[in-house]
Amino acid sequence: MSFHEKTDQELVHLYIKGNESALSELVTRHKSRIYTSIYLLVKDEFLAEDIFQDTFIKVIKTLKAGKYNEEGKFLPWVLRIGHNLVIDHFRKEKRNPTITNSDGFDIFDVLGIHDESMEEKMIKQQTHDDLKKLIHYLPSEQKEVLIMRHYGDLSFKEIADLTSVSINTALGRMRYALNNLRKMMTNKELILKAS
Amino acid sequence: MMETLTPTLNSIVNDEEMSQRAINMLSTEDVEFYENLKPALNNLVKSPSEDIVNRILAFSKTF
Repeated sequence: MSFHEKTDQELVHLYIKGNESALSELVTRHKSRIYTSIYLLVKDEFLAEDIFQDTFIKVIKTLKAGKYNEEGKFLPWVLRIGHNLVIDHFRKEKRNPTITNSDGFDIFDVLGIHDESMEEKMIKQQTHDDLKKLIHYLPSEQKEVLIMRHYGDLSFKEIADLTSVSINTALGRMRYALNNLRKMMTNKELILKAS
Repeated sequence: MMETLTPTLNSIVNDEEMSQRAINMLSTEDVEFYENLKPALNNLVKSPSEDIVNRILAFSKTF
């Protein structure tokens, strides 16, 4: 059986036994979900990469120390670590406010859209930027639930556990997040377009 | 091809036992809006650089 066919739990066991390729598969499998979840909370690519790296350093240390709780699922556990590191970052920021940079320029964003006309590119980029901004305008607890649900693919029970609230509260926050996004999009006349 | 992170479009929750709660709390309008929003949310997916991934894997080998 190839690594692609193995469950997260099987890969974790292999990694704990010393198979480094198992970690590589776990990182490859979940990197986009974890990184996007962090990035949409901190709004800075470079900072998100630092937190992503710190998250996996904690994961590695915990797994190699034999302290991983096998009852939990791997992805929610990693997202919880990342989420806690984001909270730590904002706590430090509050104590020592600094002027932060905006997003890092990503050349691949430009290079990746070579098949479209200039107008299509501009519309797509504008929608992309607008939606990102609207998500950032959401209250943090609503933004968290939306990000964990969508990018982390977590159940509401997992989100409730992770954020220490009841399931009803987590669901309520999702509902408010959707309502607020809908209102903001209506006000901004933003049209969703899949591409 | 665009990566779809939420393959089950019919339900907004994973756990079966939670589905009823979600349906009770989220209106049809909410669910429809979320379904329409998903492709746009998927377009915001980003990946960390290869350099960061390589650093993580290198750290693991030396730890």
